[in-house]
Amino acid sequence: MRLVALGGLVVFVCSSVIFGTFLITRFVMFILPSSMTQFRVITDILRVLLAVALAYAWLRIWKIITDRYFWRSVGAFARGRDEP
Amino acid sequence: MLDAYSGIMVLVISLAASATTYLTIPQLASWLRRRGIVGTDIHKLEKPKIPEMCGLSVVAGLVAAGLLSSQIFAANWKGALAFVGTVLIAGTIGAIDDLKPLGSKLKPVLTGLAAAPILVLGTYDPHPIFPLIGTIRLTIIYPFLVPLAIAIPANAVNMLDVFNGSMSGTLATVSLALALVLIFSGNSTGASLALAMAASLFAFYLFNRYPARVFGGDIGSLAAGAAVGALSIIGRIEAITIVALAPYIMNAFYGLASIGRLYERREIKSRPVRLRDDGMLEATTEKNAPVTLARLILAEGPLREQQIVHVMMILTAVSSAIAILTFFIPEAP
Repeated sequence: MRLVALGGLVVFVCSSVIFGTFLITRFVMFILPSSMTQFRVITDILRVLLAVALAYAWLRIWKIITDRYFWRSVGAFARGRDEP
Repeated sequence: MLDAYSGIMVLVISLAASATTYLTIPQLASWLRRRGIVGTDIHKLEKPKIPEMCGLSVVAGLVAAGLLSSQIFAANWKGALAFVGTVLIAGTIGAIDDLKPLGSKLKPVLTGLAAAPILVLGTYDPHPIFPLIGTIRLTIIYPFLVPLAIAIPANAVNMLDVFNGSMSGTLATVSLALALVLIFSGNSTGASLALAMAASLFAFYLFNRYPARVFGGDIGSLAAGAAVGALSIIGRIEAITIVALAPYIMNAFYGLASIGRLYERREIKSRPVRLRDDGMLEATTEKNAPVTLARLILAEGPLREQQIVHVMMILTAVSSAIAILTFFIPEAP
């Protein structure tokens, strides 16, 4: 069970890297399209800031999932040890 | 895909790297022990003293591979020499840290300097390839990302070097996956360096696995981590490397997120894992201890040190397999 849960976490992280970059890029390009050439530097900075904000939100979700798994597992193990 | 000649040369370079590492370790270990450069194996009840800084043998193997590659695949000699330069600078920073510990903030900054050979020799392409997306133009920002691409894997690898064989075993798996990708993409220089790295780390693993006879020290972990970063840039496999390094990134991110800042292991008062009287390791339940990968692995109950490393190696094998599959993902319409 331990390997399945942790393997699932690794698969989640890997797939979120693959699909996350894709979605972030598509979303950022949709919000700030390349047609805005007259403000290129500003557009590029805004793109980076938006991508960083999305990446931060993704990392927060990742942290919440991990914390939940860790404390739930530790709690379940402690309960199992305390039971006669 | 590589042609037959390049394939044979890649194997020759890898054999040279593994032989350099394997043959230098015993002499280096006894020399270090004589000079008292030893570390305590804290996850054993008897707390044995083990020769530290034997990662110098890995550095020697990687440098030998880089120099050979620059001669054999002369068309891309700059790439191989940039790899050698990065490994040497990161290894030197690691050696200084082993002898006189650097601060938790200074070490990442200094490892970023190991990117200098790549930037000076211009062995990067500011158009990285991402799965589903394809090539992205990052002409202005890419040179600023190169030091991060060296410092992040170097320090992430360093943070996972906590158990016997954990760094060498897992990073050998990652390097092998990267070598396969570079062989498929026909990059002879990148393939020779990646396979040499896998071979050198495997040779080191034979001495470093449980019960460890040698420790790599920061000289080994920082140099090996920086080498992976350099490979990702020289081989243009940035995204694939990130996927392959997922367990390292998880470990580093969980630690940083739970502590809230850069930290050194020796600075942490609340330890993430604890050695029990029966020799098994268990996760501590202290709220302010970092949630590292080892602590996550131990969340469902205690394990022996070698069992933890086996779990880490399986997780790295999973991420490495996904990294290889990532190479074949076509560009989305």
